[in-house]
Formats: sequence, structure tokens, C-alpha cells
Amino acid sequence: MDVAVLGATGDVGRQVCTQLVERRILPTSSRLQLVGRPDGASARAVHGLRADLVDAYDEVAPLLDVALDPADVVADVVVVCAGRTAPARAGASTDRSALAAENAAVFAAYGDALAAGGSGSEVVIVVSNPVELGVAVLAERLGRHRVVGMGAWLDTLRFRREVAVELGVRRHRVGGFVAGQHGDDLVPLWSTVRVSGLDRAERERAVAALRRTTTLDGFAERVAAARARLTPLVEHDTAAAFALVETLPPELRVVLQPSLTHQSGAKTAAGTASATIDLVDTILDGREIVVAGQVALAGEVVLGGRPWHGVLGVPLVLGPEGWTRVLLDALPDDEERRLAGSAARIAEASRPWTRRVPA
Amino acid sequence: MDAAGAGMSDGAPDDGVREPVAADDEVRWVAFVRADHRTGTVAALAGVFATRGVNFDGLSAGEAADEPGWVVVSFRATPRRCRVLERSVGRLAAVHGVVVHRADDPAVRAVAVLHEAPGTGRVPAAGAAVRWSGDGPLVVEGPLAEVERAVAAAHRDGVRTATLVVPPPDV
Repeated sequence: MDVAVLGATGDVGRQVCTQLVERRILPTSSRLQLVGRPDGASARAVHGLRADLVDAYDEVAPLLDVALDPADVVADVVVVCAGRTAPARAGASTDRSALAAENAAVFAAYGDALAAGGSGSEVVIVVSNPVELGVAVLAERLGRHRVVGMGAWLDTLRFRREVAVELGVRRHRVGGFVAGQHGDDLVPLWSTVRVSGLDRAERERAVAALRRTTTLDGFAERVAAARARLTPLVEHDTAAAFALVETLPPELRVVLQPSLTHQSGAKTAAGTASATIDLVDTILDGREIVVAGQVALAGEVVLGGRPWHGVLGVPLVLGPEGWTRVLLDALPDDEERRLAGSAARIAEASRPWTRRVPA
Repeated sequence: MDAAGAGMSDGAPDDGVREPVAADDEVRWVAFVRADHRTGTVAALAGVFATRGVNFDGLSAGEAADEPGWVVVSFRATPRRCRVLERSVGRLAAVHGVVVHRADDPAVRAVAVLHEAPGTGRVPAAGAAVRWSGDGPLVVEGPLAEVERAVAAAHRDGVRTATLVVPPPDV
């Protein structure tokens, strides 16, 4: 099985490539395609990245291939890291909708090329933001079950970690999902949290203690208030900003910690790549696992009594042919309200660049 | 009930032999691959096919007068999978170009060497599209499909061994 990484020389793309090789996700007989842009600096850097990976990992590296034209993308799994990212500096705008105008064209170009010349069975993992827009644009060209955005999985892993930290356990002992829109508009599904070793009553007590409030209503306002406290610190006292984040409830840390990490200049490339590799590994391995991801829904989820049609982050079953099923039980009212709001905001933000998503 | 289960219910013994799964629209193809004549080229090529579960019907490699050399692969696949294989092979660093033809394309030529029992005195059938030559081992050349028919007929007539090669297009 071959993997193509679009935007291979960006921060996340480079990490994805490195981890794919270093973690030996791809056997030496497989091909890792490093894809850059013909008209940008990546046209040169992508050749250098290939040489660097060979230099570092010659004993275990897969076949390394360089491509600069969307029409030359050939792989079983395509990881989309291409496009612009939000500036990684203190106080920079975190408005993901501002990325949409530029990145929509990138998503469309690769989607059109894969639709025209691809195998018809590639699975596409969208990393670039706005991830929901990437999923919408690619799904309408390739078919919705072959396209998964990894933002909800990254948010889920962060959520599990924050819950685990509060409980004093390791992350792998915590289950639970984050749905909705990647970033500030995410929806922590507290009702899905599970902790190995705790029975239902113990878990409910633990979750109640962690939440500090019992509802997601007003979550956006709480995020905004916390961000307002953080912003003055980010530029002049980053250590204090990180210390302040540590005092916040876990559901707020899930939103604000990554944002702070990005604005610190360190960015979030390692964590983003690691979560992406989870999904790539699952697809290549032929397993089916339950993850969270942004996908184009066609009524699989009911929000406000109506089947929802549009892109949304949800728990789902991911396998070698893409995603197959959504696994979302009936939600408490507050979670469903926030999820419905998130879904509506995604649809509104994506509308200028999308057509109808095919079944 | 799956196929194995159905077989057992009929009382037929499971001999462990599994026929390859073939789709109705699978056809035979011949890929002419211009590739570097060096270690690892055929392994890389084989990897592309093996990881996609496609078996080689035949494979031959040879030098050309000028580098790179040729690898010729015949296989069965649907048109879609053939295209995937063609594009994937084309992305290998050692590969300089790939051309794929249907095996029944008259442009795909073949050469067969028939090792006959002494004194058989075989002659080509009237109107055959193949050329025959040789006074000991018999050399048959022509379109692949025709050569294969000639080889099959020769087998029926008692030919002991036959070797069939698809040479690259300019040979």
C-alpha cells in the first residue's frame, strides 16, 4: 500500500512523513509519495526532504517518490496537509474561516485530479484546515465514504488526555469522543466518556467532578472568556499563559491548550501528525476501529429531530475502504444542542465553496 | 453460508486448493516497463503487484542496447486495477516509462521455443499468422495470442517443453 502526503514539506506534512517512516508504518516495499507545489518553495524542498529521509532512515525507509503535479498523485491513502495555515504568532487570528478562501482552491485542485486520474478507491485523510471544508470539497468529488477529516480525532485524543490527567491515569485508559467542528467550536461529548476500571456509578461521579458545570450551554462564552484572559499573556509571558491554561477545566483546555501551543511558535505538528498516523495505520492495516472524524453525513445523525446532511465531526468506524458507519447514540440535550449549532456553523462557513455532497 | 461451508455440506473434501478470485471483467494485459537495469528494480515492481494481490502470469527482463532495460509483465486484472497498477509502477524511481496493452492486441508479439522429440518434423499450419523456424528446437514468432495457440497445439501434439517470451516492442 502506498501513501501520498500532499504538502509534504510543511510543518505537519514533514512530521507525517517522518513519523510514517520512523514508526515503520510503511514497509520498505511500499511507496511514500512526497507531494509539493510546482510553483512554490516546496518544489525544491520536497526533493531535499526525500534526500533527508533517505539519509536518516535508509535501512527502514519505503520507496520515496516526489511529485509536483496533482495529476501525478498515485497512492492508496492520501494525506492532505497542503494549503496555508494560521500564523503561528501571539495574538494572530485563529479564525479558521479566513483560511477557507485560499485552501478551498487547493482542496478542489487535488480533488479534481484524484477524481479524474485516481483509482477510485483512495482513502483521503484531511489534515489541513478548515478541515470541514476540505472534507466537503473532496467528498463531493470522490464520494463521501472515502474522505475523513482528522480534526475530531485529534480533538478526541486531546480530550481523553485532559480527562486522564484529571483522573491521574494514562490516556489509553480513557474513552470518549469529541464531535462537531475542529477548534473553538468542538463539542466534548461528556456522555461518551468511559474510564477503564470504573463502573457506571463511579464514572458518573468522576465525570461530574471533572466537568465543574453540568451543561455545554454557554460553552462558547466560557471559551471566549478564558481566551480573553490568555491573550494578554501569550506574547509577553508564555509560561504564565501555559500555567493559566492548566487551571482551566479539561473541556476548556482541549480548546485553548493547542491554540496556545500554536501561537507560541512551537505549533502542533507532532501531535497532529501522530493522530494522523493513527488513522493511516488503521487503514493500511486492514482493521476497523472506532475513531472520531469529520465526514460528510447524509442523514446518519439526527439533530433537532431532523436527519443532518452536511459535514460534521462524529464518532465513526474507519477501515481500509474509508468510513462505514457513524456510532453516535442519543445525546443529552445540551450536547445535541451544541452539536446542532456546530453543524449549522460548518454548513454556513462551507457553503460558498461547496456543491452537493453525493451519496 | 460461505463457499467453504457449502463445499463441506456437499461432502466434498477440502483439498486446500484455492483458485484465484477473478472478476468477470478481468482481462489479460502485458506491461512493458522501461526500467533501470539494477538491483531492486524487479523487487520494487513485484511489490506493486504483490501488495495488490495481482499475480504475474509471466515476467521477463532484458537488457536493451542502451540503458535502461526492459521488464515485461503479463497479468490479469480489471481495467480499473490495471490503471492503478500502471500508475503505481510508473511512480517507481527505477521506472522510466510504462506502456500497457491488452494481451490480445496484435501489437503484442511473442516468441516461443518448442523442444520437440527428434524427428517430429513439425511444419506450420497453412495460413498461420506465426513464423516458424529452426531445425532442432523450433522457434515460433508472432502475435501473442497466435503464438499461445500454436504452443497449446504443440503441447497437444506431444511437444515436451515450450518456452514463451514476450519481448519488448522494439525487439
